[in-house]
Amino acid sequence: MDFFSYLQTARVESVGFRPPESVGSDATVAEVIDIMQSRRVGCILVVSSERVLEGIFTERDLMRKVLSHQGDAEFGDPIAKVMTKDPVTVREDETLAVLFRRMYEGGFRHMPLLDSAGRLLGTVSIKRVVSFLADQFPETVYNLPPRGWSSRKNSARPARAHDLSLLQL
Amino acid sequence: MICPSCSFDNLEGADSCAACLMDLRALDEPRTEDSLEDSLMHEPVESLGPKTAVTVTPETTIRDALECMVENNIGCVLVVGEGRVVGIFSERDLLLRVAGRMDEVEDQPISRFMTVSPQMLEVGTPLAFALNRMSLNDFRHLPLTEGGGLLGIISLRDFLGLLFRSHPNLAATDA
Repeated sequence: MDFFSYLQTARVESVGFRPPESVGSDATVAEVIDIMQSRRVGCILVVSSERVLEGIFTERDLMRKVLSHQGDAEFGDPIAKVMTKDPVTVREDETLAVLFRRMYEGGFRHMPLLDSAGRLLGTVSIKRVVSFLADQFPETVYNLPPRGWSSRKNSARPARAHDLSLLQL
Repeated sequence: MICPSCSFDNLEGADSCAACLMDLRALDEPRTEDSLEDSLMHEPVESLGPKTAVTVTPETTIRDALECMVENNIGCVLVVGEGRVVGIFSERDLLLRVAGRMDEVEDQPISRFMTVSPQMLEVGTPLAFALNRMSLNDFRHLPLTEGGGLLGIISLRDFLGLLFRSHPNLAATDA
């Protein structure tokens, strides 16, 4: 299978995701910032008691709606007031190609990941997506020598999902 | 290294096959099997189309830097003093160093909160090297220089753009 076919068939989970950092919609802005700082995450998902996603609050929202003079939110406000409601999501049974396209077209840094029943599973970040792309070409990306230095002695290559060509020779 | 002629399993890096003496050196050269990999290996970093970097000075206050980021709808500013880049200040710095105490620090200079001496890349550097740097260091942004002067800035998202540029049909996938 080549890389292109792989992207069109492999499911979103191939990229990997992390369990969501989530709060209820009555959490305050201050509480949410605390969580973002202590867990060092760029977004918090707002969910109902049944793991149904209601909104997302990101570093960009923090900057624009809370810290900027142009925003009107206070630290004591409920997060529901400043979150982005009904964010664009991706389902676990969708493909990598769909995930990448949705993320790129929307300019999103995070995508909430839902299970097939529509409940929240986790978050996929652009950092993880780009690391995934890098991991597909380990020889090119990680063994590339610094410029001006060109010995390719250690060319042992990890197996990759779409590459069996060397064994098939 | 499997010999393509006789299938003997040679030691990695062998110059010739120990069984049939076939020259294996060409097989050790980088081979690309995908158009994205080809771009990563052969295109320079500036082919991502770096955006113009928004700059402030080390004396700029946190308040002014923040409003500048909001107005430009960007995630980071570069701090330039005496003609060179001395720091970078991002939304992550805002979250971790400023968010809980904005009233206390908004009039302070950004130089106290920025990340000093950020890594930068000179134009002409292969894309693969830029991806390596960003991936291993968890950078979201990477400033580019040309002849030592600031040329622009690239972000993680630009690599998704590169994926779609190298695989145009990917954009037609049903979503």
